[in-house]
Amino acid sequence: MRVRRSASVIAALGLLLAACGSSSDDTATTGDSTASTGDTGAGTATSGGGTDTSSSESAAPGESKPATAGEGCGLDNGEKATGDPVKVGNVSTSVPGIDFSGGPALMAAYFECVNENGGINGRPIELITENDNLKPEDAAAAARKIVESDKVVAVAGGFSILDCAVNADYYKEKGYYAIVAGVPAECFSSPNFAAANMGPAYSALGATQVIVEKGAKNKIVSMIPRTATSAYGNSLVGVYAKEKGLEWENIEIDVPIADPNAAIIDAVNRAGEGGGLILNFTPPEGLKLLKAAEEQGLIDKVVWGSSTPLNDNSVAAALGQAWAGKLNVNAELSLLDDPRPEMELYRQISKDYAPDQPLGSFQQMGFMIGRIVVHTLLEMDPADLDDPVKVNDAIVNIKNFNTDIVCKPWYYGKLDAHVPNNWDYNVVPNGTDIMELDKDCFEIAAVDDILKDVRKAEVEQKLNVG
Amino acid sequence: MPGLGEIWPFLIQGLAFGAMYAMTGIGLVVLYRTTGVVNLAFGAIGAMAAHIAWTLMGGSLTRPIPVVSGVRILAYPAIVLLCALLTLLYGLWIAPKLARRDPLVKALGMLGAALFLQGLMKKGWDSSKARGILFPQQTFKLGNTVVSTTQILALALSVVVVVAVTTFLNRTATGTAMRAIANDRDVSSLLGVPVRRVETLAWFGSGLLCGVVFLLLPPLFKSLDQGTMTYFVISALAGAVVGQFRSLWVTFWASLGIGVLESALTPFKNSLHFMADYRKLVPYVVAVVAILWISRRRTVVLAGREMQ
Repeated sequence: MRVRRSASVIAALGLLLAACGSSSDDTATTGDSTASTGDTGAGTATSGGGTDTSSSESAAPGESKPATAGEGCGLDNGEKATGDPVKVGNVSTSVPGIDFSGGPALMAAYFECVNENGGINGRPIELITENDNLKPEDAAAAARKIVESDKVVAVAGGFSILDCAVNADYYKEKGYYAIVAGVPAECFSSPNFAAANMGPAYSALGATQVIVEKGAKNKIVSMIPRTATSAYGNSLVGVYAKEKGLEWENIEIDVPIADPNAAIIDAVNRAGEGGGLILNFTPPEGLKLLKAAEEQGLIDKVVWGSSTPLNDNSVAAALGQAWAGKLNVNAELSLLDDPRPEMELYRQISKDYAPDQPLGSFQQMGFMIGRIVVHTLLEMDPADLDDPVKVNDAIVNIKNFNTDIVCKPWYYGKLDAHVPNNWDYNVVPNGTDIMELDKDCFEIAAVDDILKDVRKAEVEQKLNVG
Repeated sequence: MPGLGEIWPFLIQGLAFGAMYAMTGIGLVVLYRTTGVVNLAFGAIGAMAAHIAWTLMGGSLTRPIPVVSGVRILAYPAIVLLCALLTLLYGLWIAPKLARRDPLVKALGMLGAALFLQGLMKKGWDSSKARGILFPQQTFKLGNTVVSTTQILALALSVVVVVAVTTFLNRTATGTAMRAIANDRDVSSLLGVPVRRVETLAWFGSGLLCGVVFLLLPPLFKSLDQGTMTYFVISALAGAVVGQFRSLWVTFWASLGIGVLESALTPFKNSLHFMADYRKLVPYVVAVVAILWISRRRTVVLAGREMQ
C-alpha cells in the first residue's frame, strides 16, 4: 500500500508539472541575436536627415548612399563595420505552438550582411531580441531591459503576442516609436506602433473576403489559438461575415494541438457542408489541422482560408497534391518566389546568413523591418545615431518607403492608429512545393473605424503615394 | 447535447489516443513495479527517437513531412530501437545510482533526463518549424467517420501489449522475479533473485513499449511537437494512477476510458461548450478523483506492513 501511495504522490507531482509542462519549453529564450559587434568607430559620410526614404536614392554624387531595394545590404561597399554598435532591440514570442523567432532571425541576418557592407556609416548595427515567453511580466521586463539596460536607440522587429498590449504606454512614455510585426489590437491602434504586417485580424478578414468570393455559404467558422489576443484575432471575420449575411462562429483552441483529428472534425461539422473555415495559426499548428482534414476526407466539405502565417513553401510541400488550389492563404507580403530585386535580396540573405530558416512570411517581415531601420538610420546625421529622440523622430516621419515586399509603400506617420499594410494578395498551394499567386493585390475591406481613418489619413498626408 | 451520430467520430479518435495512453501506462506500471521508478522521461525519450528518425527519413525544413521510401523505411524500426536503447542507457547508468533513494528522488531523476532531452531537441530541431512523420496507412469509412489503419493498429497493439505483459508477468520465471522485486527488493535479493538483471530487462522492455507508442503517436498527432510528445506521459499517468500502479487491466481500461471521454467532449456546444474547452483536463480530473479514492482509508504503516 505504501508503495502505491508513493506512486500516487509522484503521479500527483507529475500531474502538477503538467500545468507547466507545455511551458518548460516556453522558458527557453530565443537568445540575443547579435548581428555583429565591432571595435572602434569610424563613420563615413552620408546623406543625412531625410525622412521620406524615397528621397534616399537621389543623394548627391560623391555622397555615400544606401543601396536601393535589391542592390545589396545598406551601403553595400564591402567594408566591414567597426566601432560601437548602433543598438536596436525588440520583444518577441517564442514558446511551443507560438514561435515567431523566424522574424527576428532574418532581421539579424540582414544586419549581419549590412555590417559586412559598411554598417551604419561605418558602425555595426546590433539586434537584441528578448523573449516574452508569452508572459506579461516577462514582456514588461524585456521592454525595460532593452530600453534601460541595453540602451537601444530604436525598438524594431518585435514579433510578439504581448509586447504591444503590455508595453504601449511604456514606449509612449519613453518616446519610442516601435516597428513591429503585430498580433494584438494594440499594435494597430496605438500612436507608438506601426507594423510591417496587418496582423491576424485584418489578414483573416482578407482570407474571409476571398472564401466568400469563392462561394463559402451559410456559415463561416474561424479557429485561433487560445491566447490573450484570441478575441481580437478573428473579430473582423465575424464583422465581415455578418455584413454578408452569413452566420459566424469562432473556436479558440489550446495549442499545441494534441488531437488535430477531433479538432478539425468538430470545426468542419460546425461550418456545415459548403461553409467556410478560416484558420489563424502558425505553420506547425495549421499543418496538423490540414493533414488531419485530409485524412478525414474533409477537404471538399468547406471552403478553406487562412491568415498569412501559412504562406510558407514548407507548408505547401507538406500538403502535397491533395490540397492543390484548395487552401486560400492571405498573403500580406509578396510571393516568396517573386522575381523583383528586393525579394531576390531577401532570398539571398536567407541563403547566406540564415540557412536554417525557411522562406516564409515572418522571415520576410523581419527582413523588411531590417531594411526600413537600416535605410532610416543611414539617412540620419551620424552624430545623431546614439540619440534615441532623434532616431525615433526619424522613424515616426518615415513615409513612402518603397519596397517590393508589400503592395503599397510603407509609412509610419503621426497617427492615432497605424495599419500601413492594408492591401493583400491571395495565394494557394500549387500541389508540389510552393504557394502560388491566386489573386493579386486587393484592398482589405474597411469594416472597422480604424481602417477607415487610416485610409483617410493616407490620402490627406500623402503617406503612401509611392 | 450532441447525439450519438455526432459523437461517433470522436469516439474513434478517442479510442486511438486511449490506446496510446494504455500502452504508455502499462510501460510505466511495469517499470515502476520492478524498479520503483516512475518514468517521467517516457515521452521525452520517445520524442527524441522520433526526431532522430525524422532526420534519417530525410526530413528537412523544405520537406517537413518526408515521404519515406527505399532504405529510409528502416527509420521506422529505428524509433523502437532508439527508445529501447535510450531507456536502457538510463537504466544501466543513472538508475543504479539512485536505486536506494526515495521514490521522489528517482522520479526527479527521470524528470531531469526529460528536460535534458527536451533541451537537446529544441537545440537540434527548432521547435518553431513544422515537422511530421506519417505512417503508411489506409483509410476507410465506418458509419459517418473515417478510420485509419494507424488508429486500428494502435488499438490492436494496446490489447496485444496488455495480454502479453500480463501473461509474461504471471507465467514466466522472469515475470515472477519482477513481481517479487516489486513486493520487496531486499528480500528478493536475499532469496537469490538476480535483481540487477531483472531490472535491466524491465528498463529494456519499458523502452520497447515506448518505441511502439512513438512509432504511432507522431502520425496521430500529425506533428513532432516536442512539448506535446514530451508531456504526453503526464496525461497517460492518469490511467496508471487509477490502476494504482499495480493492475495492468485496470490501467488499460481506465486509459481507454480517459481517451474516449477526452475526445467525446469536443462537439459540445452552446451552454455546454465549457466541456469542450476543458476536455484536456479529463486525465487530471480522473487522476485526482482516483488519488482521493485510494486515500480514503487511513492506513498506518509499521515496519513496512500496513495496519488498518
